[in-house]
Amino acid sequence: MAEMKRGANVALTREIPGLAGLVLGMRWNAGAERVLEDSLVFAAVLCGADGRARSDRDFVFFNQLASPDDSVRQPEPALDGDQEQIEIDLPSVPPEIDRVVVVLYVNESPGQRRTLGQLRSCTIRVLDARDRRELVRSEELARAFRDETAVVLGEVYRHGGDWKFKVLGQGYSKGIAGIAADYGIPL
Amino acid sequence: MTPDPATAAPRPDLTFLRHRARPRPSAPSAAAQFVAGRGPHPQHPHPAAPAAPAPAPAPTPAPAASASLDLSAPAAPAPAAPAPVPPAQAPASLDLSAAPAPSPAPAPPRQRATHRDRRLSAGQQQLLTLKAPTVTLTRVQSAIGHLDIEAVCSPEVGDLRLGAAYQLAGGESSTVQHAGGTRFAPPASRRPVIVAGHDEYENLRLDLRQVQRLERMAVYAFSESRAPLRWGGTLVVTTFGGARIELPLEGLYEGTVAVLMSIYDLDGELVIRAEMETISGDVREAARAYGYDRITWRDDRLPVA
Repeated sequence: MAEMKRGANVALTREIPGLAGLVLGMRWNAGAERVLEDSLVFAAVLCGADGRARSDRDFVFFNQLASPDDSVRQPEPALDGDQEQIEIDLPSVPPEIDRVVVVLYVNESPGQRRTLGQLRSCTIRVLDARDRRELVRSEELARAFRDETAVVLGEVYRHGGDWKFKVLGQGYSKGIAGIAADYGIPL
Repeated sequence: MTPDPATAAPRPDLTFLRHRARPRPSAPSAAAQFVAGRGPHPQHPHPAAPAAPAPAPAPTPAPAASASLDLSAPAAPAPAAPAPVPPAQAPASLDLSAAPAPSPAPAPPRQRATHRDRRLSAGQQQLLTLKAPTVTLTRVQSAIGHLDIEAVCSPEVGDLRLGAAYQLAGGESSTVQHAGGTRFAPPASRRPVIVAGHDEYENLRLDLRQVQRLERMAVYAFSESRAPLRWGGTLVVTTFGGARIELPLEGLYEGTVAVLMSIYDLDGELVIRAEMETISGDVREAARAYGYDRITWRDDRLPVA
């Protein structure tokens, strides 16, 4: 399937009847930047109609592997050749959740500042959880990164009775703190 | 009604039920006692501390799953008595907390969790005292950014220096301190979990990306010259979200070494607890008193490198 550019969206459940489980796969290449590689975190935020998380439990990442309802999970380890993955079971996403946003950020570790601009490549793709088949893939997102330390990669969102996926690639120079402020994640 | 999990039909459509179990909230456990500041850490009792006068052991209502520490209990409390489920809720949101674990026979009304699970929100300030000795960070607060610990003390206190005894998940155990010790935990690591520094004040910094490598640590203060300290000032813990946990240091008995605070990773959540205990001896005795018995020592202050 063709690469999706920033801003492009696809009507997943309308085009693929019966699609219930998604896997969002993250692939990046940090080259020789080991500190950057070790500091990257892939996470998902469950957002209500106001675009904000209900509580800290709506942030799914390595230290909180599932949302309270288990609809969004981070499997460890990731499969399918992805570095990190987020699984979404669409029918069990609570009705008040409007979208699931996936983000990548550089954890601010003591004394070591790295940016996403140092990434050689960074793409996100969507798989069908049933047969692990790739449905769509984003364009190369790394080229646009400069001194950002976090990026909202894309979102899976309700549209009418369907679920759509959109590539965002929205960078944040304030890192995960900036994303937390915009999406209401209590830090 | 929520069907009885023992007799309910299997739900093959819910794939995660086949391979993921959700720990059920357990009755007040050793961990809850610890969080309440009334008992030692379940896995790491510190021998020096006299056992707190334990309340008469309440009859345990059910065989509690002692292995599964579920501190998230307040967020998803198990109803004491089967409450009628409003039918409107049933189809869309499945009450997974009840489903997977076969629950024991209906227990008598459960004693409400007695621990005060104090939490912290961004920008907030919390005081640790001996009556309210603990604060628990959320899993998000425990694993994003870094956690800073700073001894805000004036020179009148004396030559107070800060350090920490630690144990990592792999069992590795030693100390970090800026003054005359090893600054990084683990030593010579490219990616230290703890860094000891001295800026305006003595400080320790935790890399929370690696919080899962940390099992526990005990923050101590000592006099570099071994002259008794005139305890004062405040130990300040600052979260990545800007919240502050403050532990005033007045009130310690005179001495040259004291264990001020301990930090435990309990099921992904960092529990920060005031210890405030002057120790006779030096850093070695302080570490031993808190159960860091895997450290080998060069002398009474520094571990074998």
